[in-house]
Amino acid sequence: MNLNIDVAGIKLEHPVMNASGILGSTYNDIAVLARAGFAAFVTKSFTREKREGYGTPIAVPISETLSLLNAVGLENPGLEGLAELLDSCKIFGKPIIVSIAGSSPEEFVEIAVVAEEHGATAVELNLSCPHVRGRGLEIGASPSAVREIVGIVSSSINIPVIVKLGLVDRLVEVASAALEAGARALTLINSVKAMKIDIYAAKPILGNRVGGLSGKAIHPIAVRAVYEVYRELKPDIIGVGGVFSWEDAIELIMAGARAVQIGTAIIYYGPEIVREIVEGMKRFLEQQGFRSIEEIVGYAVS
Amino acid sequence: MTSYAYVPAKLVKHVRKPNSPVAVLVYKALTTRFFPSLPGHFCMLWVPGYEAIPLSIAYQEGAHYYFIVKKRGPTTTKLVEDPPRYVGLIGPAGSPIPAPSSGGKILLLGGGVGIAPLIYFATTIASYVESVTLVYGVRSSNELVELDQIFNVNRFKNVELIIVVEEVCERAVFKGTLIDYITVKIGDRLEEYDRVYASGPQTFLCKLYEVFNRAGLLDRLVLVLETYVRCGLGFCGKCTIPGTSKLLCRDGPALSAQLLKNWFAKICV
Repeated sequence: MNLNIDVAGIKLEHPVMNASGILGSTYNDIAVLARAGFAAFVTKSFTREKREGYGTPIAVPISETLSLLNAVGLENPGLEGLAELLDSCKIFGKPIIVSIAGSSPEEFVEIAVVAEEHGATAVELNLSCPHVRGRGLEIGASPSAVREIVGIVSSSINIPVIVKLGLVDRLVEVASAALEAGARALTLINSVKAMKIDIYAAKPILGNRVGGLSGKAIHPIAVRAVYEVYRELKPDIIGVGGVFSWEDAIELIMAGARAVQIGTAIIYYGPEIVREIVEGMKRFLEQQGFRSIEEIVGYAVS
Repeated sequence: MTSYAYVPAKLVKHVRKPNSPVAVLVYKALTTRFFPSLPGHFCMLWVPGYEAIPLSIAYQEGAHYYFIVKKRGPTTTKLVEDPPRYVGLIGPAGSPIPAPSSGGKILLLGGGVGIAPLIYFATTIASYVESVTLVYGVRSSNELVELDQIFNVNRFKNVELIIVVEEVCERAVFKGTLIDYITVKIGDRLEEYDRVYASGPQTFLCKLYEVFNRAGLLDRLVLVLETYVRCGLGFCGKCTIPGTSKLLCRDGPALSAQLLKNWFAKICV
Protein backbone atom coordinates (compact mmCIF):
# COMPACT_ATOMS: atom_id res chain seq x y z
CA MET A 1 0.00 0.00 0.00
CA ASN A 2 1.25 3.49 -0.71
CA LEU A 3 0.30 6.57 1.25
CA ASN A 4 0.27 9.00 -1.67
CA ILE A 5 -1.86 12.05 -1.17
CA ASP A 6 -2.00 15.58 -2.48
CA VAL A 7 -2.69 18.71 -0.52
CA ALA A 8 -3.04 22.18 -2.04
CA GLY A 9 -2.14 20.48 -5.33
CA ILE A 10 1.21 19.30 -3.92
CA LYS A 11 1.88 15.63 -4.51
CA LEU A 12 3.23 13.87 -1.42
CA GLU A 13 4.63 10.34 -1.15
CA HIS A 14 3.11 10.14 2.32
CA PRO A 15 1.27 12.68 4.46
CA VAL A 16 3.99 13.62 6.98
CA MET A 17 6.03 16.83 6.85
CA ASN A 18 7.82 18.82 9.55
CA ALA A 19 6.16 21.77 11.23
CA SER A 20 7.61 25.21 10.60
CA GLY A 21 10.22 26.21 13.16
CA ILE A 22 11.55 22.69 13.59
CA LEU A 23 14.82 22.26 11.69
CA GLY A 24 13.92 24.39 8.68
CA SER A 25 16.48 27.19 8.86
CA THR A 26 19.56 25.84 7.11
CA TYR A 27 20.65 23.44 4.40
CA ASN A 28 21.86 21.11 7.13
CA ASP A 29 18.47 21.20 8.88
CA ILE A 30 16.72 20.18 5.65
CA ALA A 31 19.34 17.48 5.06
CA VAL A 32 18.52 16.02 8.49
CA LEU A 33 14.80 16.01 7.61
CA ALA A 34 15.49 14.49 4.19
CA ARG A 35 17.56 11.68 5.69
CA ALA A 36 14.80 10.94 8.19
CA GLY A 37 12.28 10.55 5.38
CA PHE A 38 9.88 13.47 5.53
CA ALA A 39 7.61 13.82 2.46
CA ALA A 40 8.01 17.60 2.28
CA PHE A 41 9.90 20.27 4.16
CA VAL A 42 8.53 23.42 5.73
CA THR A 43 11.04 26.20 6.37
CA LYS A 44 11.33 28.37 9.43
CA SER A 45 9.21 31.51 9.05
CA PHE A 46 11.04 34.13 7.04
CA THR A 47 10.83 37.91 7.35
CA ARG A 48 12.24 40.50 4.94
CA GLU A 49 15.03 41.53 7.27
CA LYS A 50 17.27 39.22 9.25
CA ARG A 51 16.01 38.77 12.83
CA GLU A 52 18.10 37.79 15.85
CA GLY A 53 15.25 36.41 17.93
CA TYR A 54 14.71 36.62 21.67
CA GLY A 55 17.10 36.08 24.54
CA THR A 56 17.45 32.61 26.01
CA PRO A 57 15.81 30.44 27.20
CA ILE A 58 13.92 30.25 23.91
CA ALA A 59 12.30 26.92 24.76
CA VAL A 60 11.23 25.06 27.88
CA PRO A 61 10.23 21.39 27.80
CA ILE A 62 7.01 20.59 29.67
CA SER A 63 7.88 16.94 30.00
CA GLU A 64 4.84 15.81 32.02
CA THR A 65 2.71 16.27 28.90
CA LEU A 66 5.37 15.76 26.18
CA SER A 67 4.96 19.41 25.32
CA LEU A 68 7.15 22.41 24.67
CA LEU A 69 6.89 26.10 25.33
CA ASN A 70 8.87 28.25 22.89
CA ALA A 71 9.51 31.85 21.99
CA VAL A 72 12.30 31.89 19.45
CA GLY A 73 11.26 35.30 18.17
CA LEU A 74 11.09 34.52 14.44
CA GLU A 75 14.86 34.33 14.23
CA ASN A 76 15.76 33.93 10.56
CA PRO A 77 18.37 35.11 8.03
CA GLY A 78 15.94 37.26 6.02
CA LEU A 79 15.30 37.33 2.27
CA GLU A 80 18.91 36.83 1.23
CA GLY A 81 19.15 33.71 3.33
CA LEU A 82 15.89 32.40 1.88
CA ALA A 83 17.17 32.50 -1.70
CA GLU A 84 20.34 30.70 -0.68
CA LEU A 85 18.43 28.06 1.31
CA LEU A 86 16.04 27.29 -1.55
CA ASP A 87 18.80 27.11 -4.15
CA SER A 88 20.81 24.68 -2.03
CA CYS A 89 17.83 22.47 -1.12
CA LYS A 90 16.74 21.69 -4.69
CA ILE A 91 19.08 18.73 -4.51
CA PHE A 92 16.66 16.87 -2.22
CA GLY A 93 13.99 16.71 -4.94
CA LYS A 94 11.08 17.01 -2.51
CA PRO A 95 8.41 19.69 -2.09
CA ILE A 96 9.59 22.62 -0.02
CA ILE A 97 7.10 24.97 1.57
CA VAL A 98 8.30 28.41 2.63
CA SER A 99 6.78 29.78 5.80
CA ILE A 100 6.37 33.57 5.79
CA ALA A 101 5.80 35.88 8.75
CA GLY A 102 5.37 39.38 7.37
CA SER A 103 4.22 42.47 9.20
CA SER A 104 2.44 44.01 6.20
CA PRO A 105 0.77 42.73 3.01
CA GLU A 106 3.73 44.08 1.01
CA GLU A 107 6.26 42.15 3.08
CA PHE A 108 4.31 38.91 2.60
CA VAL A 109 4.22 39.50 -1.16
CA GLU A 110 7.91 40.36 -1.38
CA ILE A 111 8.95 37.16 0.37
CA ALA A 112 6.44 35.00 -1.53
CA VAL A 113 7.78 36.31 -4.84
CA VAL A 114 11.36 35.47 -3.89
CA ALA A 115 10.22 32.03 -2.72
CA GLU A 116 8.55 31.35 -6.06
CA GLU A 117 11.54 32.68 -8.03
CA HIS A 118 13.85 30.31 -6.19
CA GLY A 119 11.75 27.22 -6.73
CA ALA A 120 9.57 26.88 -3.60
CA THR A 121 6.69 24.45 -4.10
CA ALA A 122 4.29 26.54 -2.02
CA VAL A 123 4.20 29.21 0.64
CA GLU A 124 2.65 28.90 4.08
CA LEU A 125 1.56 32.25 5.48
CA ASN A 126 2.15 32.25 9.22
CA LEU A 127 -0.86 34.23 10.40
CA SER A 128 -0.70 32.79 13.86
CA CYS A 129 2.68 33.24 15.54
CA PRO A 130 1.62 33.59 19.18
CA HIS A 131 4.50 35.68 20.49
CA VAL A 132 5.67 38.39 18.07
CA ARG A 133 3.61 41.55 18.09
CA GLY A 134 2.23 42.64 14.72
CA ARG A 135 3.24 39.40 13.03
CA GLY A 136 0.93 36.48 13.38
CA LEU A 137 -1.92 35.92 15.76
CA GLU A 138 -3.12 39.53 15.67
CA ILE A 139 -3.48 39.28 11.88
CA GLY A 140 -4.92 35.78 12.01
CA ALA A 141 -7.72 36.77 14.38
CA SER A 142 -9.13 39.34 11.96
CA PRO A 143 -11.09 38.06 8.93
CA SER A 144 -10.55 41.33 7.06
CA ALA A 145 -6.77 41.36 7.61
CA VAL A 146 -6.58 37.71 6.57
CA ARG A 147 -8.62 38.41 3.44
CA GLU A 148 -6.36 41.31 2.47
CA ILE A 149 -3.05 39.47 2.92
CA VAL A 150 -4.12 36.18 1.39
CA GLY A 151 -5.74 38.01 -1.52
CA ILE A 152 -2.72 40.07 -2.44
CA VAL A 153 -0.27 37.15 -2.06
CA SER A 154 -2.49 34.79 -4.08
CA SER A 155 -2.68 37.28 -6.93
CA SER A 156 1.08 37.87 -6.91
CA ILE A 157 2.37 34.30 -7.28
CA ASN A 158 1.39 31.12 -9.12
CA ILE A 159 2.48 28.53 -6.56
CA PRO A 160 -0.12 27.44 -3.97
CA VAL A 161 -0.76 29.64 -0.95
CA ILE A 162 -1.33 27.78 2.32
CA VAL A 163 -2.50 29.73 5.37
CA LYS A 164 -1.50 28.71 8.87
CA LEU A 165 -4.03 29.69 11.49
CA GLY A 166 -3.99 29.43 15.26
CA LEU A 167 -6.41 29.12 18.08
CA VAL A 168 -8.80 32.04 17.60
CA ASP A 169 -12.43 32.46 18.63
CA ARG A 170 -13.85 32.86 15.15
CA LEU A 171 -11.72 30.20 13.50
CA VAL A 172 -14.28 29.06 10.91
CA GLU A 173 -14.93 32.67 9.90
CA VAL A 174 -11.22 33.43 9.51
CA ALA A 175 -10.68 30.16 7.65
CA SER A 176 -13.49 31.04 5.30
CA ALA A 177 -11.97 34.47 4.63
CA ALA A 178 -8.61 32.87 3.78
CA LEU A 179 -10.18 30.38 1.36
CA GLU A 180 -12.31 33.01 -0.35
CA ALA A 181 -9.22 35.15 -0.83
CA GLY A 182 -7.41 32.36 -2.64
CA ALA A 183 -5.80 30.02 -0.06
CA ARG A 184 -5.46 26.51 -1.51
CA ALA A 185 -5.12 24.90 1.92
CA LEU A 186 -5.08 25.68 5.63
CA THR A 187 -2.54 24.55 8.20
CA LEU A 188 -4.26 24.10 11.57
CA ILE A 189 -3.11 24.92 14.25
CA ASN A 190 -0.14 26.96 15.45
CA SER A 191 1.19 26.73 19.01
CA VAL A 192 -1.05 28.14 21.71
CA LYS A 193 -0.05 31.27 23.66
CA ALA A 194 1.19 30.13 27.07
CA MET A 195 3.60 30.74 29.97
CA LYS A 196 5.68 28.75 32.45
CA ILE A 197 6.86 30.19 35.76
CA ASP A 198 9.69 28.85 37.90
CA ILE A 199 8.16 29.09 41.38
CA TYR A 200 11.52 29.27 43.17
CA ALA A 201 12.98 31.96 40.93
CA ALA A 202 9.46 33.46 40.86
CA LYS A 203 9.83 34.48 37.23
CA PRO A 204 8.53 33.38 33.85
CA ILE A 205 11.26 31.18 32.35
CA LEU A 206 11.23 32.16 28.68
CA GLY A 207 13.39 35.12 27.67
CA ASN A 208 10.24 36.59 26.12
CA ARG A 209 8.15 35.49 29.15
CA VAL A 210 5.23 34.48 26.85
CA GLY A 211 5.53 31.81 24.19
CA GLY A 212 3.68 29.18 22.23
CA LEU A 213 2.74 25.77 23.62
CA SER A 214 3.10 22.81 21.28
CA GLY A 215 3.07 19.05 21.70
CA LYS A 216 0.72 16.48 23.20
CA ALA A 217 -1.07 19.04 25.37
CA ILE A 218 -2.57 20.75 22.32
CA HIS A 219 -3.40 17.66 20.25
CA PRO A 220 -7.10 17.52 21.18
CA ILE A 221 -7.37 21.24 20.45
CA ALA A 222 -5.91 20.67 16.98
CA VAL A 223 -8.29 17.77 16.34
CA ARG A 224 -11.25 19.93 17.28
CA ALA A 225 -10.09 22.85 15.12
CA VAL A 226 -9.50 20.63 12.07
CA TYR A 227 -12.87 18.90 12.58
CA GLU A 228 -14.86 22.13 12.81
CA VAL A 229 -13.25 23.80 9.83
CA TYR A 230 -13.53 20.63 7.73
CA ARG A 231 -17.18 20.14 8.64
CA GLU A 232 -18.09 23.71 7.67
CA LEU A 233 -15.84 24.37 4.68
CA LYS A 234 -14.31 21.07 3.43
CA PRO A 235 -10.99 22.68 2.44
CA ASP A 236 -7.60 20.98 2.08
CA ILE A 237 -6.16 20.94 5.59
CA ILE A 238 -2.70 20.18 6.96
CA GLY A 239 -3.21 19.14 10.57
CA VAL A 240 -0.58 20.03 13.15
CA GLY A 241 -0.48 19.82 16.93
CA GLY A 242 0.90 17.07 19.14
CA VAL A 243 1.34 14.31 16.57
CA PHE A 244 3.63 11.80 18.33
CA SER A 245 2.32 8.55 16.90
CA TRP A 246 0.54 7.10 13.88
CA GLU A 247 -2.65 7.08 15.93
CA ASP A 248 -2.38 10.85 16.42
CA ALA A 249 -1.83 11.33 12.67
CA ILE A 250 -4.80 9.13 11.74
CA GLU A 251 -6.95 11.05 14.21
CA LEU A 252 -6.19 14.39 12.55
CA ILE A 253 -6.81 12.89 9.11
CA MET A 254 -10.15 11.44 10.19
CA ALA A 255 -10.99 14.94 11.46
CA GLY A 256 -10.41 16.26 7.95
CA ALA A 257 -6.66 16.77 7.39
CA ARG A 258 -5.04 15.51 4.17
CA ALA A 259 -1.52 15.79 5.58
CA VAL A 260 0.07 16.32 8.98
CA GLN A 261 3.08 18.18 10.30
CA ILE A 262 5.13 17.09 13.27
CA GLY A 263 7.20 19.35 15.49
CA THR A 264 7.54 18.62 19.17
CA ALA A 265 7.73 14.85 18.54
CA ILE A 266 10.92 15.51 16.55
CA ILE A 267 12.39 17.11 19.66
CA TYR A 268 11.42 14.32 22.07
CA TYR A 269 11.83 11.33 19.73
CA GLY A 270 14.22 12.57 17.02
CA PRO A 271 13.47 13.12 13.31
CA GLU A 272 13.47 9.35 12.66
CA ILE A 273 10.02 9.17 14.30
CA VAL A 274 8.56 9.94 10.86
CA ARG A 275 9.21 6.38 9.66
CA GLU A 276 7.38 4.83 12.59
CA ILE A 277 4.42 7.11 12.02
CA VAL A 278 4.28 6.32 8.30
CA GLU A 279 4.62 2.56 8.82
CA GLY A 280 1.96 2.60 11.54
CA MET A 281 -0.47 4.46 9.29
CA LYS A 282 0.08 1.89 6.53
CA ARG A 283 -0.60 -1.00 8.90
CA PHE A 284 -3.74 0.63 10.22
CA LEU A 285 -5.17 1.26 6.76
CA GLU A 286 -4.47 -2.32 5.74
CA GLN A 287 -5.89 -3.82 8.91
CA GLN A 288 -9.02 -1.71 8.69
CA GLY A 289 -9.54 -2.46 5.02
CA PHE A 290 -8.94 1.01 3.61
CA ARG A 291 -7.27 1.36 0.22
CA SER A 292 -5.81 4.87 0.53
CA ILE A 293 -5.30 7.83 2.83
CA GLU A 294 -7.85 9.70 0.75
CA GLU A 295 -10.58 7.36 1.96
CA ILE A 296 -10.20 8.36 5.60
CA VAL A 297 -9.91 12.13 5.14
CA GLY A 298 -12.76 13.48 7.24
CA TYR A 299 -14.00 9.95 7.91
CA ALA A 300 -15.04 10.83 11.46
CA VAL A 301 -16.81 14.05 10.52
CA SER A 302 -20.57 14.11 10.56
CA MET B 1 13.61 8.98 23.29
CA THR B 2 15.09 11.91 25.12
CA SER B 3 13.61 12.56 28.52
CA TYR B 4 13.94 16.33 28.37
CA ALA B 5 12.87 18.20 31.44
CA TYR B 6 12.97 21.59 33.06
CA VAL B 7 14.46 21.23 36.53
CA PRO B 8 14.36 24.04 39.11
CA ALA B 9 17.47 23.73 41.24
CA LYS B 10 19.02 25.22 44.37
CA LEU B 11 22.65 26.14 44.98
CA VAL B 12 24.28 23.83 47.50
CA LYS B 13 27.98 24.46 46.86
CA HIS B 14 30.14 27.23 45.38
CA VAL B 15 33.91 26.73 45.31
CA ARG B 16 36.13 29.50 44.00
CA LYS B 17 39.68 30.55 44.75
CA PRO B 18 40.17 34.27 45.49
CA ASN B 19 39.90 36.24 42.23
CA SER B 20 39.72 33.09 40.17
CA PRO B 21 37.81 33.34 36.89
CA VAL B 22 36.65 29.77 37.48
CA ALA B 23 34.19 28.30 39.96
CA VAL B 24 32.67 24.93 40.74
CA LEU B 25 28.93 24.98 41.36
CA VAL B 26 26.69 22.26 42.68
CA TYR B 27 22.96 22.63 42.19
CA LYS B 28 20.38 20.31 43.67
CA ALA B 29 17.14 19.56 41.84
CA LEU B 30 14.02 20.79 43.61
CA THR B 31 11.81 18.22 41.94
CA THR B 32 11.85 14.43 41.94
CA ARG B 33 11.36 14.55 38.17
CA PHE B 34 14.96 15.63 37.48
CA PHE B 35 16.72 14.22 34.45
CA PRO B 36 19.49 11.63 34.70
CA SER B 37 22.64 12.32 32.68
CA LEU B 38 25.62 10.47 31.32
CA PRO B 39 29.14 11.86 30.72
CA GLY B 40 29.05 14.16 27.69
CA HIS B 41 25.55 15.41 28.34
CA PHE B 42 25.20 19.12 28.90
CA CYS B 43 22.29 21.30 29.86
CA MET B 44 21.03 24.81 29.37
CA LEU B 45 21.48 26.49 32.73
CA TRP B 46 19.12 29.43 33.13
CA VAL B 47 20.16 32.24 35.44
CA PRO B 48 16.97 34.16 36.28
CA GLY B 49 17.29 37.75 35.12
CA TYR B 50 20.11 36.72 32.77
CA GLU B 51 20.23 34.14 29.99
CA ALA B 52 20.46 30.39 29.65
CA ILE B 53 23.92 29.05 28.78
CA PRO B 54 25.10 25.61 27.69
CA LEU B 55 27.16 23.93 30.42
CA SER B 56 28.69 20.47 30.53
CA ILE B 57 27.62 18.34 33.44
CA ALA B 58 30.88 17.66 35.29
CA TYR B 59 29.31 15.06 37.55
CA GLN B 60 25.90 13.98 38.74
CA GLU B 61 25.05 12.19 41.92
CA GLY B 62 21.31 11.73 42.26
CA ALA B 63 19.70 15.13 42.37
CA HIS B 64 23.08 16.93 42.57
CA TYR B 65 24.48 18.41 39.38
CA TYR B 66 28.11 19.59 39.28
CA PHE B 67 29.32 22.35 36.94
CA ILE B 68 32.59 24.11 36.25
CA VAL B 69 32.11 27.66 34.98
CA LYS B 70 34.55 30.21 33.61
CA LYS B 71 33.80 33.93 33.25
CA ARG B 72 33.09 34.81 29.64
CA GLY B 73 30.03 37.06 29.50
CA PRO B 74 27.50 38.56 31.93
CA THR B 75 25.75 35.26 32.72
CA THR B 76 28.92 33.28 33.42
CA THR B 77 30.39 36.20 35.41
CA LYS B 78 27.28 36.21 37.59
CA LEU B 79 27.60 32.45 38.06
CA VAL B 80 31.28 32.58 39.00
CA GLU B 81 31.15 35.63 41.27
CA ASP B 82 27.72 35.50 42.84
CA PRO B 83 25.81 32.40 41.79
CA PRO B 84 22.06 32.72 42.27
CA ARG B 85 20.32 30.64 44.89
CA TYR B 86 17.94 29.27 42.26
CA VAL B 87 18.50 28.36 38.63
CA GLY B 88 16.68 26.29 36.05
CA LEU B 89 18.27 23.36 34.21
CA ILE B 90 17.01 22.28 30.78
CA GLY B 91 18.36 18.98 29.57
CA PRO B 92 19.86 16.55 29.05
CA ALA B 93 21.31 17.94 25.82
CA GLY B 94 23.59 16.02 23.49
CA SER B 95 24.64 12.39 23.41
CA PRO B 96 26.89 10.57 25.85
CA ILE B 97 30.61 10.36 25.05
CA PRO B 98 31.05 7.02 23.24
CA ALA B 99 32.60 4.77 25.87
CA PRO B 100 35.52 2.45 25.09
CA SER B 101 34.08 -0.97 24.32
CA SER B 102 36.38 -2.91 26.60
CA GLY B 103 39.40 -2.50 28.85
CA GLY B 104 42.58 -0.86 27.70
CA LYS B 105 44.53 2.27 28.49
CA ILE B 106 42.58 5.48 28.21
CA LEU B 107 44.06 8.97 27.94
CA LEU B 108 41.86 11.96 28.76
CA LEU B 109 43.08 15.47 27.92
CA GLY B 110 41.14 18.37 29.40
CA GLY B 111 42.05 22.01 28.75
CA GLY B 112 40.68 24.55 31.23
CA VAL B 113 36.97 24.19 32.01
CA GLY B 114 36.89 21.70 29.13
CA ILE B 115 37.91 19.18 31.77
CA ALA B 116 34.29 19.06 33.02
CA PRO B 117 32.82 16.21 30.92
CA LEU B 118 36.05 14.21 31.21
CA ILE B 119 35.88 14.11 35.02
CA TYR B 120 32.43 12.56 34.81
CA PHE B 121 33.65 10.25 32.05
CA ALA B 122 36.72 9.14 34.04
CA THR B 123 34.62 8.18 37.05
CA THR B 124 32.26 6.16 34.83
CA ILE B 125 34.81 4.17 32.84
CA ALA B 126 37.33 3.61 35.67
CA SER B 127 35.52 0.48 36.84
CA TYR B 128 36.11 -1.48 33.68
CA VAL B 129 39.16 -0.13 31.86
CA GLU B 130 42.76 -0.95 32.68
CA SER B 131 43.85 2.60 33.40
CA VAL B 132 42.75 6.20 32.97
CA THR B 133 45.31 8.97 32.63
CA LEU B 134 43.54 12.27 33.19
CA VAL B 135 45.73 15.16 32.09
CA TYR B 136 44.36 18.50 33.19
CA GLY B 137 45.89 21.62 31.69
CA VAL B 138 45.31 25.21 32.77
CA ARG B 139 46.98 28.51 32.04
CA SER B 140 47.57 29.64 35.62
CA SER B 141 47.24 28.13 39.06
CA ASN B 142 44.25 30.24 40.08
CA GLU B 143 42.22 28.60 37.32
CA LEU B 144 42.99 25.20 38.76
CA VAL B 145 40.04 23.26 40.13
CA GLU B 146 40.94 20.86 42.92
CA LEU B 147 39.60 17.76 41.23
CA ASP B 148 40.82 15.49 44.01
CA GLN B 149 38.98 17.36 46.73
CA ILE B 150 35.78 18.21 44.89
CA PHE B 151 35.27 15.19 42.68
CA ASN B 152 37.29 12.72 44.69
CA VAL B 153 38.86 11.36 41.49
CA ASN B 154 41.62 9.62 43.47
CA ARG B 155 39.10 7.16 44.89
CA PHE B 156 39.89 5.05 41.85
CA LYS B 157 43.25 3.30 42.02
CA ASN B 158 43.58 3.15 38.23
CA VAL B 159 42.94 6.85 37.60
CA GLU B 160 46.06 8.98 37.47
CA LEU B 161 45.63 12.74 37.57
CA ILE B 162 48.37 14.82 35.96
CA ILE B 163 48.26 18.58 36.33
CA VAL B 164 49.83 20.69 33.60
CA VAL B 165 50.16 24.44 34.11
CA GLU B 166 51.60 26.97 31.68
CA GLU B 167 52.91 29.29 34.40
CA VAL B 168 55.13 28.24 37.26
CA CYS B 169 53.00 26.41 39.81
CA GLU B 170 53.97 24.11 42.63
CA ARG B 171 50.93 21.89 42.08
CA ALA B 172 51.94 21.16 38.50
CA VAL B 173 53.61 17.95 37.44
CA PHE B 174 54.57 19.60 34.19
CA LYS B 175 55.04 23.22 33.14
CA GLY B 176 53.66 24.01 29.70
CA THR B 177 50.61 23.45 27.54
CA LEU B 178 48.81 20.17 26.99
CA ILE B 179 50.34 19.97 23.52
CA ASP B 180 53.81 20.49 25.10
CA TYR B 181 53.02 17.68 27.49
CA ILE B 182 52.07 15.30 24.68
CA THR B 183 55.14 16.20 22.66
CA VAL B 184 57.62 16.02 25.52
CA LYS B 185 56.17 13.43 27.87
CA ILE B 186 54.26 11.09 25.61
CA GLY B 187 55.95 11.52 22.25
CA ASP B 188 56.17 8.20 20.44
CA ARG B 189 54.23 6.39 23.17
CA LEU B 190 50.94 7.87 21.92
CA GLU B 191 49.93 4.56 20.43
CA GLU B 192 50.15 2.89 23.81
CA TYR B 193 46.75 4.42 24.51
CA ASP B 194 43.77 2.54 23.11
CA ARG B 195 41.54 5.57 23.17
CA VAL B 196 42.17 9.28 23.64
CA TYR B 197 39.46 11.79 24.52
CA ALA B 198 40.07 15.53 24.47
CA SER B 199 38.01 18.52 25.51
CA GLY B 200 39.06 22.14 25.67
CA PRO B 201 39.75 25.28 23.62
CA GLN B 202 39.35 24.96 19.86
CA THR B 203 42.97 25.83 19.11
CA PHE B 204 44.05 22.97 21.36
CA LEU B 205 41.67 20.52 19.66
CA CYS B 206 42.92 21.63 16.24
CA LYS B 207 46.56 21.04 17.21
CA LEU B 208 45.69 17.69 18.70
CA TYR B 209 43.89 16.65 15.52
CA GLU B 210 47.06 17.46 13.61
CA VAL B 211 49.22 15.44 15.98
CA PHE B 212 46.97 12.39 15.68
CA ASN B 213 46.55 12.79 11.96
CA ARG B 214 50.32 12.83 11.51
CA ALA B 215 50.65 9.75 13.71
CA GLY B 216 47.92 7.97 11.73
CA LEU B 217 45.89 7.52 14.93
CA LEU B 218 42.74 9.53 14.20
CA ASP B 219 40.61 6.43 14.75
CA ARG B 220 41.59 6.46 18.42
CA LEU B 221 40.77 10.11 19.05
CA VAL B 222 37.45 11.54 20.21
CA LEU B 223 37.04 15.32 20.46
CA VAL B 224 34.48 17.08 22.65
CA LEU B 225 33.50 20.16 20.66
CA GLU B 226 31.85 23.48 21.38
CA THR B 227 29.52 25.55 19.23
CA TYR B 228 27.09 28.36 19.76
CA VAL B 229 23.96 26.79 21.28
CA ARG B 230 20.55 28.43 21.40
CA CYS B 231 17.61 26.08 21.98
CA GLY B 232 19.59 23.11 23.30
CA LEU B 233 16.75 20.83 22.19
CA GLY B 234 17.68 20.07 18.59
CA PHE B 235 15.20 22.21 16.71
CA CYS B 236 16.72 25.65 16.05
CA GLY B 237 19.66 24.39 13.98
CA LYS B 238 22.13 26.93 15.43
CA CYS B 239 24.55 24.35 16.78
CA THR B 240 25.42 22.61 13.52
CA ILE B 241 29.00 21.37 13.84
CA PRO B 242 30.91 23.04 10.96
CA GLY B 243 31.86 20.67 8.16
CA THR B 244 29.44 17.98 9.37
CA SER B 245 25.68 17.51 9.20
CA LYS B 246 25.52 16.97 12.94
CA LEU B 247 23.88 19.06 15.62
CA LEU B 248 26.00 19.53 18.73
CA CYS B 249 22.96 19.42 21.02
CA ARG B 250 21.72 16.14 19.55
CA ASP B 251 24.70 14.22 18.08
CA GLY B 252 27.54 15.95 19.93
CA PRO B 253 29.38 17.27 21.74
CA ALA B 254 31.77 14.28 21.43
CA LEU B 255 32.61 13.09 17.93
CA SER B 256 35.18 10.68 16.62
CA ALA B 257 38.03 12.57 14.95
CA GLN B 258 37.52 10.40 11.88
CA LEU B 259 34.28 12.28 11.23
CA LEU B 260 35.97 15.65 11.60
CA LYS B 261 38.09 15.93 8.46
CA ASN B 262 35.89 18.70 7.02
CA TRP B 263 35.54 20.31 10.44
CA PHE B 264 39.33 20.51 10.63
CA ALA B 265 39.57 21.98 7.13
CA LYS B 266 36.92 24.58 7.92
CA ILE B 267 37.85 25.54 11.47
CA CYS B 268 41.54 24.85 11.94
CA VAL B 269 43.22 25.60 8.63
